[in-house]
Amino acid sequence: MLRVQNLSKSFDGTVALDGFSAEVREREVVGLVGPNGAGKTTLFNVVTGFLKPDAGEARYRGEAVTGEPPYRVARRGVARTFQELRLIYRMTVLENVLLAFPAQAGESATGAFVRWLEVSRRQRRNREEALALLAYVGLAEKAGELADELSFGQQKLLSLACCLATGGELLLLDEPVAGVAPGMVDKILGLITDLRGRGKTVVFIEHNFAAVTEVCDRVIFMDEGRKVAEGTPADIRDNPDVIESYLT
Amino acid sequence: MGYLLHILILIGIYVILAESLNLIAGYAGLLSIAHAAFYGVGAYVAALLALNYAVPPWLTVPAAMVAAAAVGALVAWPALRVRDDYFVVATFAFQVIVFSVMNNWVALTSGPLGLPGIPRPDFFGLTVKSHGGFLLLTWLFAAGVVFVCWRLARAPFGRVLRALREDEVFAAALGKNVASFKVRVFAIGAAMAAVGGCLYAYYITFIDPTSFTVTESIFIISIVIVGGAGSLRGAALGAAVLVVLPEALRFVGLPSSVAANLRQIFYGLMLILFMVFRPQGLIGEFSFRRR
Amino acid sequence: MIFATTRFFHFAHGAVYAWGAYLAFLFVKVLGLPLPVGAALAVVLCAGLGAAFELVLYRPLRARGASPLVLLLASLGAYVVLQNLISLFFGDQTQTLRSGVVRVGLPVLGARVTPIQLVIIGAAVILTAAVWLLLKRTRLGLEMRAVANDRALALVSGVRSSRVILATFVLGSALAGLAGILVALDVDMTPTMGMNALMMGVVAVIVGGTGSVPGAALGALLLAFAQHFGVWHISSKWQDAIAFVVLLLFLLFRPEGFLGRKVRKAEV
Repeated sequence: MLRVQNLSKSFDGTVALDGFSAEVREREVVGLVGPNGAGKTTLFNVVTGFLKPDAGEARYRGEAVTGEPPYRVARRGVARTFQELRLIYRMTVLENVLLAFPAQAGESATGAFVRWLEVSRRQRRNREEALALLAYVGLAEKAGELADELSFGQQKLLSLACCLATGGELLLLDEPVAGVAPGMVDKILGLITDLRGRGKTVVFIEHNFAAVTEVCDRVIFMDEGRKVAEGTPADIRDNPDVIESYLT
Repeated sequence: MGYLLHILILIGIYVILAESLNLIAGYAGLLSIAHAAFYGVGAYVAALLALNYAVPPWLTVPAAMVAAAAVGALVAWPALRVRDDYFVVATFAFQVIVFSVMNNWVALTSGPLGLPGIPRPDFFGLTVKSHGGFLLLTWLFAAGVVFVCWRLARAPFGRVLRALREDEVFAAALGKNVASFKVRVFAIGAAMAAVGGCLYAYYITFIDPTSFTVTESIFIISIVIVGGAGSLRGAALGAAVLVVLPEALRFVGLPSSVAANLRQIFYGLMLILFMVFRPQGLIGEFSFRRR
Repeated sequence: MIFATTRFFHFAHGAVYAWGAYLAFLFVKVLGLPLPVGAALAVVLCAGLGAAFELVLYRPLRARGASPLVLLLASLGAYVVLQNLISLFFGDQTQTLRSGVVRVGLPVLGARVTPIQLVIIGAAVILTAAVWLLLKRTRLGLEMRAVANDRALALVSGVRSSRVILATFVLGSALAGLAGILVALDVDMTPTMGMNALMMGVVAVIVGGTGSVPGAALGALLLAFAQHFGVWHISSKWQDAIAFVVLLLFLLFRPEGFLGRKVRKAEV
């Protein structure tokens, strides 16, 4: 589904990605781990169009995504969350999710005036779907509250709901359970597992190795912009190169 | 009585200008001090068409809107590249360039001499001449502009604009074509400002570049800020406040040039005070602070 | 200089420039003080004005976490107020600090240069060199560069950034006041002169490279060159427009100018 080949990216002399290659198959849950500065978020940024690689390419379902602007990558079906938890804090929870729906006729300037019936019908449908999504992640009662008023864990759930609302089939989650209370960790991991059953493919970056072991089919270990090891969680944990990376 | 009507007409024009800038700066968060340029383009296009080719107003106004929209789209371009305070500098540049064209392309615009004798607007037989007539006309257009802004703000379009102002990276990650929205909001805002320009030209029957300077742009952004960025009512309120309050100075018996200076000092001070103490304005939603 | 350390566009700087000229006018033409004394006094007052801006307006705003945008807006408001104060006190008509007959000027390299223009050139060279020396050799200069480079790091290293910023304002405003006086001596002065100078200053800073003093000087030179080159072929009234087209081109394609640092949109 996603194939990344030989990606390289440097910033001001620091090498973030160094000929990185990997593959993700449909309906997999893949964990991306590695020490800080390994290039994990950079990889996400390149794949989602926020950065242009110096070399190499990434293909989603056969079509190149490197070099495309982020909004187009998102529209193709690649949804992501951010390490620093981006949301529209001044909008309500429901509005955040509504924002995420693709192809809204009401988003064109003329759509606010003509084809009124179609637009409002679509809006009503989106609203129902949004509420359903919020119920799925467990935020239904918070729909009318400002995103700012949620707890950190709830905000992470919200960003997950937004990802789902985009309709994307490949979800790239950047540290979905970092800094979250243990009860919420389980909830989020449960959702990720459930997503596979709904036809989604998930790749997530995490430092919490226990979480990764619990949920992932496969783990990719990165260090210094390169893929160091790849395999089941157990393989990675016992891999000597991995252990060495953490020690150096 | 005539004076009161005059003030009300001016308020109407400034409501149009403020609401259109509010869409750009208040909703989309794209602070611009080029708005007087759009206002001016509207006024000049309408005036030139009416004076030179006797084009009737139901054609000059759309023409003015299209011209201003084109300029607006151009102004949006730097917004796609640079940070917001640099972008203000870019809008400053556009404003000065447009002013320069108005002032220096004498063959087209008569430069500093301005364009006198603009004919009164004739809507299919009904000529608008009186203060009362203009009051009605201005407020009709103002209502139209407010309606358009209201619909846009409430629609998903408005939601994307607000998302842009808060976090455009997030918006892009959700599949929103940020560049397209920025260009569109500028084009729409500029077109509406042009309507204000047409009204001004037809009402005063004389326009010259000095009505469309950087300081005028600063005045319009002050209205939006004082009234409250991101609020429809705020923009209207700001227009009323900043047009009416300085007029009170007239009654103190000061010579008109002094009053003009004091008026500018007044809104300059308002801008400073609001930025320091209440950047969201009187009833606004956005306070120009990034999280 | 001010932009480099404080990272925002202090638009009111243009007003300081104009006030320099008008204060000198007040002292020299109205109160009858001799030129050097009046000029010096005006420069000092300008420095004070700059300090006032920082202390009364910008510092409190920064303390509240204001973004560069908010500071710019406040600065715009300040500019409007100051320019109108000049109009109020001194009137809108053109004034001049010149005394005596307008002389033809000495021939230099095929053009005619008046004595005062020579003074301006000389002053520009000397002051630019002086500022450069200040930045490179003195402790204050070092602190200024540190703050310009990375304020957080500078703070941690014990640089009192608020003091440095104040010093930058004082110095920058004094220079602006002096520039205003020199220009008023060469040509005339009007209340709106600040706007023009400000525009040119902004262009020079951005073209030359934001955050770099040699960059600003380079930018100013290039700007003047482009403008006058343009005047050769196109009429002189388009000077402003040319300057701003240049500015826009830079903002679109090379916002860091020639020697400056990156200022493109925030990225992930």
